[in-house]
Amino acid sequence: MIDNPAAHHALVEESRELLDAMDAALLALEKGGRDTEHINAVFRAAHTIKGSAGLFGLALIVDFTHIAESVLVRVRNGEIPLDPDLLSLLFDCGAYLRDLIDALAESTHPTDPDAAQRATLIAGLHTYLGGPPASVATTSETPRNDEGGAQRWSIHLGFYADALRDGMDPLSFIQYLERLGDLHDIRTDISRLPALADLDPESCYLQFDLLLETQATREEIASTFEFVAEGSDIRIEPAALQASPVLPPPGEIHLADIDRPPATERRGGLRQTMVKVEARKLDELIDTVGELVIAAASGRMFVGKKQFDAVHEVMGEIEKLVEQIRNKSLNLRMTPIGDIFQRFPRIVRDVAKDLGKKIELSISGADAELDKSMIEKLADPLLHIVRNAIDHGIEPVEQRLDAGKSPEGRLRLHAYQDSGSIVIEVSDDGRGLNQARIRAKAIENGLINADAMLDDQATFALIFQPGFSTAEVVSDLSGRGVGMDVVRRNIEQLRGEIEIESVPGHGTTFRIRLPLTLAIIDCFQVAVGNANFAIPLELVVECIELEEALEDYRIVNLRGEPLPYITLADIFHIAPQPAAIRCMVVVQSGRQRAGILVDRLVGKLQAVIKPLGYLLQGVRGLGGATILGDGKVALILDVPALLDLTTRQEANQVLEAEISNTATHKTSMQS
Amino acid sequence: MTAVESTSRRYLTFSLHKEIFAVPVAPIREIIEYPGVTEIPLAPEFLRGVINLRGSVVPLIDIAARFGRGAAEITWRTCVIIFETTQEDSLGQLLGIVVDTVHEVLDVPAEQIEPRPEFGTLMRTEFVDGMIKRNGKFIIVLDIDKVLNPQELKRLIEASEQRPEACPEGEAITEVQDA
Repeated sequence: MIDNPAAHHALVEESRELLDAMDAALLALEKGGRDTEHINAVFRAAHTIKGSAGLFGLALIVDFTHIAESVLVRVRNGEIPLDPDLLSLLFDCGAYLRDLIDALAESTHPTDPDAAQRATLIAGLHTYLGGPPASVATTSETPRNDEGGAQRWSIHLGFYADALRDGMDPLSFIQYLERLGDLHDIRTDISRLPALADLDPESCYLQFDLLLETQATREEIASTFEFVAEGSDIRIEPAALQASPVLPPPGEIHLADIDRPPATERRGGLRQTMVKVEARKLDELIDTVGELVIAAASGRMFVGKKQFDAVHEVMGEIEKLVEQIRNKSLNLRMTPIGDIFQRFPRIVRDVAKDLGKKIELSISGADAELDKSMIEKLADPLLHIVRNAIDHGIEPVEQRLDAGKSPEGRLRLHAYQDSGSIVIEVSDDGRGLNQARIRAKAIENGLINADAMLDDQATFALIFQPGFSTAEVVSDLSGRGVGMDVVRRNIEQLRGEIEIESVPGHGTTFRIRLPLTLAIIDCFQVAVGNANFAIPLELVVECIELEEALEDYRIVNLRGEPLPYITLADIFHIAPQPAAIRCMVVVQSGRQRAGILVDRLVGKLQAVIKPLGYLLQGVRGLGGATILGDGKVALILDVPALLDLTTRQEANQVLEAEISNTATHKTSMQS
Repeated sequence: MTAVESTSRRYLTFSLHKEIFAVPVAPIREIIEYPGVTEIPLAPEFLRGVINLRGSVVPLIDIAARFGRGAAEITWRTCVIIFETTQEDSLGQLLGIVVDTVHEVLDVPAEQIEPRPEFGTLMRTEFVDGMIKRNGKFIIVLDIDKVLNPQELKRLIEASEQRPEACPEGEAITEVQDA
């Protein structure tokens, strides 16, 4: 089983999700005090991880979780209070488990990532169990003999066949038994299971043999099964303590096989990734595919009958269905951004605690959906920005009070959709970026000249330069000068952009703008000379034909409004077709509206985006490529980058012109 | 058929501007006819453009231009050899090179490969891996990893993109190459 990569991957994914859930529940407990629902959530997470890891024979995880679970059982039963110390211990346990799962993700036979931490945590947990950490290294199945008064019971549960129909869930009984004491072994007896063909899914065939260590009496145990006693075969017998080397391992799972390292333990190869899909979405897609199949069949029929009008109609239908299928299949890859947002309460709490700051985190817009592959690549950059905000942005409590702010720093994660892209904002109400210091540092590092004139945006953008850090104290968390450049690179790889807004004394906002998906977009195809280009349709506002000659400067009169424009032929050095009627595509990118002058408008186009590949990654103004109906490659314009490029080039030209003018002016003055 | 000795290697030979070159066959994925090419704006001369190779967008490199010998002329015999790069950060990236004609595959024993001369090949010495003597003539064996070094090509392309005015036809490229 362990050498089944899909199962292995599923275990890792599932455990990570459970740990997220556990963190969320622990945080809720920390904030809101004791709440049975949340305690149960923590318990469930630990329990499920233990169970799944047990299937793979991962003793490293099972043993640890078992101890944590034992503590949680006592908390749930109200035997020990859930005080801040215990909470913090449980947080640490969660963090350690996460390390274990990370190690598991790397290798199917993980080694302990931090043995010292493990020992500390286990010792800590044992103080809540009331016993010495005697059996730290042994497996969970080994009985603890030092607990007085507890007795072992061997319980056989043979539910009657209609138990499930009567609404009796065997699992709930087993879970209830756990509250009575320690369940040491559960063996499923499948001897009554018939062949698949004869199997009635509503009947209960499974029997269980359990080993329970408890102080409860036989009657107390028996009372558990009051409702199912009739017709069931339930036996409760005392098990001798000495007979503990437990029941033999279940027949179906050969532990020996599991422990054997898989034949090929290749790492760094193609990583398998999975996408969780709502069943509803998949059903809808399959329905549409069904319609497509029918439409294709009727098309064939009409062709056979040579009824070409009808064929035409069917073609239209097919095209519509193909577009629906495209949208629906793309939709399968969309995941709510909340998937990464939910990790932040925990991270913020930890970072704030380490730095002795108080942070109030608010999250909004977590339902905004984004391509799955992007969500994963977004996690690290976001994490970095958040850490930076807490470390450098938000001031220590005293400074905040002096500045007349609330002692808790406010941090806000916000996501929203904005015309074909998704925007994620991380804002804090801290001290804001210190422009003077950024500038001084940049000059010191030789990033800019001492007399360079930069506007706010350009100054802030300096922090994305490699090796830039203004932090005077290099802390454990940030300020080592690695990071912000990586953040920007990661965002740019996702065809996104990042901008900073900052007001001294009032806070900073990082705004990340990303396209919704990476796979297919609607485009508008234009031609310049012999070259074809595609402009993302979501950016196109309108198209106009220009009849009058254009003025010298690059502004056109659009219904009384001035509209700056760029000429694609000039920018790309392509010879335009002479005498063609020039066409202008009006685009809107963020707050900027501009025209793009081309030779010809071709029409709408569905572009399957193909990456340009390693060599052409750095080419400004191109966002990718797509393949046209005739098999040729068309380039997709990266409009924001193009406008940006033009803005900068023009600023330089103007500046140069100004300098040379001044120079001539001066010489003429002197002469 | 006898087993090829472990000390011999297989090379594909092709001609370019009437000169014959050889490349090891291992990194070659396929050889195709010269297809329709989409030019990349502001690209250096050695980057012919991109082609559609069964749905993948593959850059096409004119190695004649890269060797500073002027762009290859396209005739009905012009072919494209598709290579797969093996380097860490661009693993699996496909690259095509334009050649005048493809000739044959040679099995060459290791001892028949002469070390590269220090000069005389009229191109950057690091591009040359050695020489094969064949029918009294010398064939230059290209070090294709160096010729198609993705990092270097990427740098050259970016440099060309960033100063479009300064780079009309070809001269800027040779300039960068010498640097």
